[in-house]
Amino acid sequence: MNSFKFIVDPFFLSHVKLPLAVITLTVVIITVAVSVMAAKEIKKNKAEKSAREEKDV
Amino acid sequence: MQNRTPLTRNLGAAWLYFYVHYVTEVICFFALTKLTGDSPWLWIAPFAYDALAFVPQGIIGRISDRFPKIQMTTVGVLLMCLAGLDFWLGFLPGRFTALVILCLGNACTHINGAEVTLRCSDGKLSHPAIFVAGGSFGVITGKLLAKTFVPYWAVVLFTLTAIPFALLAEYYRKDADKLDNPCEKYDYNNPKVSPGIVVLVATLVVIVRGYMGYGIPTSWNKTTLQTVFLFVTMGIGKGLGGVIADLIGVKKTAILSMICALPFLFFGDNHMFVSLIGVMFFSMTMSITLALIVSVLQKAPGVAFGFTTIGLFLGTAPIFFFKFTTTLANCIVIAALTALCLAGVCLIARKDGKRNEQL
Repeated sequence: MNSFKFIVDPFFLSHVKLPLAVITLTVVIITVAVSVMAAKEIKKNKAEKSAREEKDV
Repeated sequence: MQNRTPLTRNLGAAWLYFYVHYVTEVICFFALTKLTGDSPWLWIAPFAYDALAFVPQGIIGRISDRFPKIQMTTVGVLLMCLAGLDFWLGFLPGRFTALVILCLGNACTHINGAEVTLRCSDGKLSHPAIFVAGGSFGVITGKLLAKTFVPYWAVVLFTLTAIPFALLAEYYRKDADKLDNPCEKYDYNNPKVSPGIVVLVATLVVIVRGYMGYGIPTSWNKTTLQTVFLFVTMGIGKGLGGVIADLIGVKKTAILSMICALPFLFFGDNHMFVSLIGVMFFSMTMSITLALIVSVLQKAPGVAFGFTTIGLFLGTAPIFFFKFTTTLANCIVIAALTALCLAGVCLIARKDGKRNEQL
């Protein structure tokens, strides 16, 4: 027995293709942008930490 | 200002933002419930709302981190009021315009709430948890109001009452910002795991929990009163999670709540009170993942909060497309996902009681 079901009516889905595509693209772009920002922040924190350690030594 | 103790300031900010969060969800779910009464909107409106209110919070969070003088909540409240007026009068072009404005307003208030309560918390989880809890009460109030005769203009006026609360909370935030790094006491991450992995795993845990939140078997939920109980329990659980984490530790709370939730959720499919206990345990981990991400992004709490909301959207998105047809399959998936979350949290959270070196 298949316990997993696609619940969206394909006919309806064909009518909302454009907004769905726009939403998906927005989500992907923002997720990548936020990840890059976080990576930069982590890098900055690391640099600050090593600068502090050097100063302590 | 100098005589105020941090505890009074922190609790004050948390409860002020409990109200702001409550008001935000009232107008959003009032509008959303009215919209979904209109059949073509039934499916796309909640999906678009989830995407446009949750996902941009990382970007707005970055702006808020870098330019703290911008009163994001005031901007957000005004945007939501504009959207509410447009839903009522229809003066803006396009059918999606008001929805997009509403979502952006929602995102702005959420981000400012997270920023203020995280900064005014001295590393405690209960303050952001109190802020987060307000949302559940707002969701159910908005849904119920939409089914009454209450007009849009009344809800818009009610939304405006959030502005003085937000301004007062901003006063508390300025007090907390006298410290160079107000979030430095957040150090709940495992120092042996790289910060990037902590963010990734914590976001994955949020995704999994976002999915589970919608997949919980609740066949008992048939009446309005039962829905009220469900949302109130969620709100209490979210708040309680932060308080218990402060008392017994983040790792213990996460493990305890995840393990305890499972049997109550499985056997509570047809029994409301059993299920509600499970829902309460399940909701307790909400603030823990946020605290873990903030621990590695201490100077960017807005971006950190943005990760949790992106995770929530990614977790809830599949619910709009797929569903399990049998309760057994659903329970197996929930158990497997809980095990995955447990492993994730155990990996990235430090041992309770130990403090990390300053980041």
